[in-house]
Amino acid sequence: MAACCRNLHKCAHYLRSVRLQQIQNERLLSTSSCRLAPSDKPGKFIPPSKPVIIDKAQSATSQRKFLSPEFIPPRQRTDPLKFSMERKDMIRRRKVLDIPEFYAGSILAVTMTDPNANGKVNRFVGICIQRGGKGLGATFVLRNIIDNQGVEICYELYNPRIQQVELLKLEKRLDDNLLYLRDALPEYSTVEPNMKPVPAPSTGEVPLNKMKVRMRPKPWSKRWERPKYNVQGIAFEQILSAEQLEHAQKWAQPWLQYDMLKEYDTSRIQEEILTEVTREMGQ
Amino acid sequence: MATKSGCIFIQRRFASAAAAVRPSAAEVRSHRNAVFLREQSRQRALFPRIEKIEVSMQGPGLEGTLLVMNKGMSTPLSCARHLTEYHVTSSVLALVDGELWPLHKPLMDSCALRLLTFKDRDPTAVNQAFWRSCSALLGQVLETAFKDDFTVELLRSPDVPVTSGAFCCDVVLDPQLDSWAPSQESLRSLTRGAQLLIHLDLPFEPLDVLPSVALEVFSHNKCKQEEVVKMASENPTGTLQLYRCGDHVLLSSSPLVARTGLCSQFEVTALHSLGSGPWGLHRRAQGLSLPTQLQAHHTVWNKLRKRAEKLVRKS
Amino acid sequence: MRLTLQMLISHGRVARRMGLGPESRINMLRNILTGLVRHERIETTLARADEVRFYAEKLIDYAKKGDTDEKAMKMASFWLTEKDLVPKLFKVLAPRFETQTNGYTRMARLPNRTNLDRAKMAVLEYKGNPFPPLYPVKKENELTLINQLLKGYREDMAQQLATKA
Repeated sequence: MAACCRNLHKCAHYLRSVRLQQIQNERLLSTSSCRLAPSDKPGKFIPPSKPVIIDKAQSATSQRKFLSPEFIPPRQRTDPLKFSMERKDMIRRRKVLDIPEFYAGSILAVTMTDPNANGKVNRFVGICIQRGGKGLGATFVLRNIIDNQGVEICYELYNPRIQQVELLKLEKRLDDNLLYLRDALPEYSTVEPNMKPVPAPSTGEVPLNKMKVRMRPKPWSKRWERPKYNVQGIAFEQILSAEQLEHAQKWAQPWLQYDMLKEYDTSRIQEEILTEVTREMGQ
Repeated sequence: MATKSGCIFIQRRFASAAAAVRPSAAEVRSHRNAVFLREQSRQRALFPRIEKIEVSMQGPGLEGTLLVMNKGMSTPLSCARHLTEYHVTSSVLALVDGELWPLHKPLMDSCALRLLTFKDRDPTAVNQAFWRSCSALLGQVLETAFKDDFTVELLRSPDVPVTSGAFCCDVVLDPQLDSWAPSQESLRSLTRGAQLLIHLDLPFEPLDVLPSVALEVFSHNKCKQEEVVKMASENPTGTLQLYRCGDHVLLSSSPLVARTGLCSQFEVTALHSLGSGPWGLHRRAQGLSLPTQLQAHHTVWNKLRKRAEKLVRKS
Repeated sequence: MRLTLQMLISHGRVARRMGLGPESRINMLRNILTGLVRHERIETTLARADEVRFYAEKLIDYAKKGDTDEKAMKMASFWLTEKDLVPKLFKVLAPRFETQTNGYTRMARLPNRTNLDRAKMAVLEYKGNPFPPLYPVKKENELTLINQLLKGYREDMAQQLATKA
């Protein structure tokens, strides 16, 4: 987090360049429409028919049933009332702000007001490497490399300062947590700041990117080869020897997958919350 | 035939005497008691020599128990006293060779004895006896509850099944009281009288008597005398069963339970009037009671009590 | 002292520490659970019985999914160290508990062990086994006085409802 903050002011000049001033744009549009109207027919005003925009990708995503993971309460003692109240607040926020469906590995652009500059906004584009937190405190981390310097910003999903969350590219990766991108070659976390949104495939499935990343030489921030992390998205063969890979298996706990105490079956909770959320969002 | 004509003769004689001077309630009671005790001591004197009988006990945990008791003197209760305190306190009735037998009635022969409780597998007979005893107790309370100025005549109480919800006791009160409607307080005072009797833990002592003795016992009460004659004609042996509870003597066609202390919850719930009959305005007192072994939670009890307030009709 | 399992899970203290470590614990519980499925009533120390109880119930939940289910088969073949018991689990125990959704086992305390270490002992069984019952069967008599009174009351109420309707 400290690294994030330090990086922030270094890339500030970049962010300033993409600031939007929407108020001026709106005024321009209104003057042009006023000029057009009298030239056509002075007596009667016929409003132009509204263009019907059919977004095929949008319809495909809306058919897919998706519940954002922060809606599912964790397995703990906290009063369920707390979560139901938080769900209400989250739904109220989602009615105002369109938060798209995204996963670790998707590319997002977040527009956020700047607390230090009045009326200005910052826009940051990056790859989502981690989603965390439950309820109102849910977060996601965006990572990008700017001027050969890795930048990670941890956004709170329901932060009122967030003005817009754009989904530039929807895809899943082999892992739910891509923190190993910190130790991977920089090309894997570099995203073009002015990237255009990539249209989603019409099949309605979330595309799965089976890419295996190449790592920088050791030492890494974590020993990603250990079975504890169960990382699929790293090409270990290219960087580690067979002995090293075998040695890592010393820490394997193969019985854990059979320990039924460790299972947390959320399917029923998920169904209930999904129906509740769709009902509330429809109102 | 001879006995019957004798009965009627005695009945007429006493009836004329009663019409002349009405004795007070206390006098009537002491007269009945005296006759009862005289007859009881006479019957006891019939066995001057102690003879032994063998009583084989039946029931859970008692198989093979053989008690040697005294003929004409030992009762089923004395057999229970040879066993455990549980048998003494929880026994309600006895089954002697398949016949219901009051717990205080002496055994006459070698027999097989089974003590019955409220928690048996089939307590129907015990329940019915309990219901009958409760209505007898209610009659006793009603007889003593009023002042000496008012006469109270107990009629033959109808035998209602347990499922009807309340036991009842038919009574004819003094003609002066015809317009009287009992209030909640008066019902409560009746309940209190019954609870005093329960607290005293009085035994119901049975006695088999000839109709002539029964007529002498009830010499002051015409309607009882009619009942005696009717019951004597119904019974093939020609004898009647009298019970004494404290100083109250009553007539019963079938056995009653051992003692009044077997009831724990007892309440007089209603006193309905049934319209006028041959003896005056008939009234039906109703009550609800549960034994010590089977007590009800107060919510259940309140529901049952509310139901017991409704008039019970003979099925 | 163990409260309900749900409570413990929510407090993050799920499992007892027993045996020589986590792997040893699982292996020990596997052996006990195999014995339970074979004999349907076993006697162990209280802690082990309590620990196995959860796994015994979950195994039935898996077995109810049927022997065609891959995960269920994997679980059964892991937890039953003697493989001849796998058909018994799917063909005997799972149909037995078809109508129930939980509570397939019953546990009862036994006197402490006296020959070795005075450990707390318990007996654990699958319900519906052919052995004599652990607890005395409760007797409920319809003919007692109070039940007869209540029967009359119920009939009265039903009659009232019928007349009202």
